[in-house]
Amino acid sequence: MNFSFLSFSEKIRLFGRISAAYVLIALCFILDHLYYGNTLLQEIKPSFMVAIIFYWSVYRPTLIPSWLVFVLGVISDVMTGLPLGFQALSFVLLQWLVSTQRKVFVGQSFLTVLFGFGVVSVAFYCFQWLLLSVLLFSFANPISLAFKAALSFLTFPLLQLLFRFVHSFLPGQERKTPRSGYGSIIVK
Amino acid sequence: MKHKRLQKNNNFVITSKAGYWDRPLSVFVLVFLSVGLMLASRFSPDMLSGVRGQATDILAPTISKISAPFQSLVKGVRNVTGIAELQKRNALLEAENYRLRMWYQKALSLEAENASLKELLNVKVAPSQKFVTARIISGTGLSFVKTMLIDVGLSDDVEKNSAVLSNQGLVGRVIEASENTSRILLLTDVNSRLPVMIEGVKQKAILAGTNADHSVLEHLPIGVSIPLNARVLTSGDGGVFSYGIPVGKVVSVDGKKPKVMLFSDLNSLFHVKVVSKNHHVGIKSLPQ
Repeated sequence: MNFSFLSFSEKIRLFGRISAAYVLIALCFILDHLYYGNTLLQEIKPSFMVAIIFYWSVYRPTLIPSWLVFVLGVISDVMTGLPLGFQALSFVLLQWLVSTQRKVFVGQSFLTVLFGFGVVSVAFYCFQWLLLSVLLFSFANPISLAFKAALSFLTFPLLQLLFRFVHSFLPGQERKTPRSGYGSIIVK
Repeated sequence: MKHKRLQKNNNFVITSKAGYWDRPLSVFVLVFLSVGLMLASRFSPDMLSGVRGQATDILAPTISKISAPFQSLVKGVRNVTGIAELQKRNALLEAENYRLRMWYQKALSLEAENASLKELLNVKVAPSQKFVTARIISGTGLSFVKTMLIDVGLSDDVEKNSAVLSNQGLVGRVIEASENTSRILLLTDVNSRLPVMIEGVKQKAILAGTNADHSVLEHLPIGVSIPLNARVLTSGDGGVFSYGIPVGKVVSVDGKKPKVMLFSDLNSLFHVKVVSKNHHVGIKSLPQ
């Protein structure tokens, strides 16, 4: 997109609006890694990153490209002490899966999106459980992941309100003619 | 109908064409990189530990500062809801304090006698150790891997395999130490193994984590009887930890491996003490 026709103040305003989405991603990342003084709570608390990756992959995939989720995953592995690449792989596959299926969610009712998120988050945690079991050479207890998936599902409606609020600040990207490629949708 | 639905959600249907980084080839490259990193991290952890340490040194201060108000909030909620329990505990602590003052005097005289006897026997004492208090910055967030990040490191005389304690007893050990941060492995982690001794029967064993809220005793001789509620202490074998650090107590002797519950409550841990070098653990004066 060409922004040269905008004045300086308009460019600043545009930058601020787009930054809101990235500030939200950073906030979700930080909230995911905060320590609340309770190891049990740490193990079952919902993952804000899964919710935000899902939301932006459906409604604004260019905001959250796969290289960004890869970097966030690597940083998450560094902070948590998990094998490097574990969260990176999980996030990249999550983002790719949702991006390929976004036509199913775009324009659908809230309940459909919520149900879709539930399915995706269960698949995400099942994948993590399987991968960790392989890495640790033993089958891990999946109970805490089941709690995580359930809490993520229950908190998604609240999180989606926040995401939609930030989304309302973002500038639109309209196309007059369809372009070939992956994931483009025309709005009339 | 579909067009009307699109119009109704117009603001959120506006999207854009996916960029280069979302094409299958790019995703494949990133997946390949992730798998490569995982294999390197799993089978050759030392290769990436330096990079990981430097990265935590950079990120930890930010996370630490942001988490401070959240931890204060959690503590505040806990304080408000636990007032009645606090009053009860206060009464118990006052009684215990009185008994401890009596023992303090006895301990001082025994310490003097012990020092004198050791001098006579020419016993070599273990090197003295020092504690440094650390704040827990973040945890794993998964029940499969029980590690935590703390805000002390090599610059605070913390090194790999240093013992990590709470006020009640041993919590774990340092597995990675960078300049300003360290990662600790909790005793309940499935990869944790600790040489211990069961008080009373003077039986040595290995305390193994189970990823649950308890640990188990392994490598016990066949036929040995472990009493219920026996205290478990570090044995000092291997020279990693000193002898006598309280670990937990035996809560179940059913099954092949006795279960041990740690003295430390891992569900209310904000600060820990990390044992360093060159500190004499003597008996300090009690406050007046």
